[in-house]
Amino acid sequence: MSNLEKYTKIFTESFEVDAEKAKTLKYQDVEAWDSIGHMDLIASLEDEFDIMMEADDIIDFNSFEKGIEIMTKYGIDMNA
Amino acid sequence: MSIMEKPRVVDKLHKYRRNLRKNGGKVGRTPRQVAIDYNNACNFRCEFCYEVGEAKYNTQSLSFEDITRICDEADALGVWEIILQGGELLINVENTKKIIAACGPERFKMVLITNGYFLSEEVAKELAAEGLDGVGISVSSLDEEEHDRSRKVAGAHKRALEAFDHAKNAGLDVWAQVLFGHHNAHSKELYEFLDYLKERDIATNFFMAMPYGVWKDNYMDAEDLKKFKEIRKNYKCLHDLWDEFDRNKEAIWGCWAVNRIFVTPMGDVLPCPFINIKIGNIKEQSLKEIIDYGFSIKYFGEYSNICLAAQNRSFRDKYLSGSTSMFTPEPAAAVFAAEDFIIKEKQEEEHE
Repeated sequence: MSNLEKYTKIFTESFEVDAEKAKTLKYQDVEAWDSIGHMDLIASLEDEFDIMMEADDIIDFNSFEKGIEIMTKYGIDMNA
Repeated sequence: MSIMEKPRVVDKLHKYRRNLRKNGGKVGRTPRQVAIDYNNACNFRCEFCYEVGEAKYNTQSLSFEDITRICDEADALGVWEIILQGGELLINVENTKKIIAACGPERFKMVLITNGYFLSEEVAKELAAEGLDGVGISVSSLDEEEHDRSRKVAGAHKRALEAFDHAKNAGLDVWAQVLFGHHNAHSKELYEFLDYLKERDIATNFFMAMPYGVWKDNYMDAEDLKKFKEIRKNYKCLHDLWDEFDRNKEAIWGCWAVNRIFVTPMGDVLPCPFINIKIGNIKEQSLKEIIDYGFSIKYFGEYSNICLAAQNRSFRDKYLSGSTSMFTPEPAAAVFAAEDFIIKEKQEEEHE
């Protein structure tokens, strides 16, 4: 499974949406992506990719797209 | 204000969440919350209140300096949530705003517990502007007559329900503080109220009826607990024992005694609002010393999958048969014997 597939899977499982919907998702678009759901999403991504995010990045992580940009900052190659 | 607009809170919550995951989803010994009882003056005279008959203590208050110092120390320990409660703090709105400011609200998720009587939309907006994030409103059913009767205030129920809208319109998180126990686990009124809240997208925070005073012997049985599990699955709700991050709504992170300490108007620190045992005083010791001491008592330092105060009969019989008032708590040293403490080496080993 590619990193992008792993990343997408965490979104689909966290917020109970399909992959297509996940790719357009923004913070608070669905009930599950509230502040608590957000912290759980971050924890799942950190576990999966073995990283630890800074508070500023956690706050900036406000969409699926933006998240990819932030993951790249932590050395995660989404094309791998 | 959302906690996502408070970077310091996000940072602490992030670390707290990681600690929990490292600890297998159990609360462990990571401090989470400080509940500050500024004073106990109240406009209601609830027949079930654990402090009913203690009005002589209503002039006792923490100072703003005390509150700031508690919050400075709590922040340094990683605490990310401050609960403000009384009494009823909104009998003096201006004072409540000063209390919020004294906490340094940019550092914490700030929550107010209220009966809702004075929570107009204007007041809710003023509190939100001051840095308040959420409001828990104490109401447990749609039975207006019973609500007003038991609180001895006409119009209490109507104003509590209106307060939900006022808080929402001010952009605050809002939930109902609902009492759950053997007395109402199967009552039609409870489920009608939960449906009412669900229709309005209002969450519920359950607290358990403590089996003393008016709820003496109100221990939940297996059927009650089965109902409680069903409620968790079917409604948007929180309860101290439940892991609020678990999307499957099944995980139990355990009893929070000492993880969420309670500071009385005298400065005494209790392991939780329902355990009247003093583990220290903020005017005499640092918060760290008090919390470390609290966790050295095995009942608080070790994992419990049930609420010690509401569900653990042997704990209650053995240790909570003394004072039921937060104003005269028994010192832990007088309540617990030497064998009730975790020896230091073992504590350090377990904490690694």
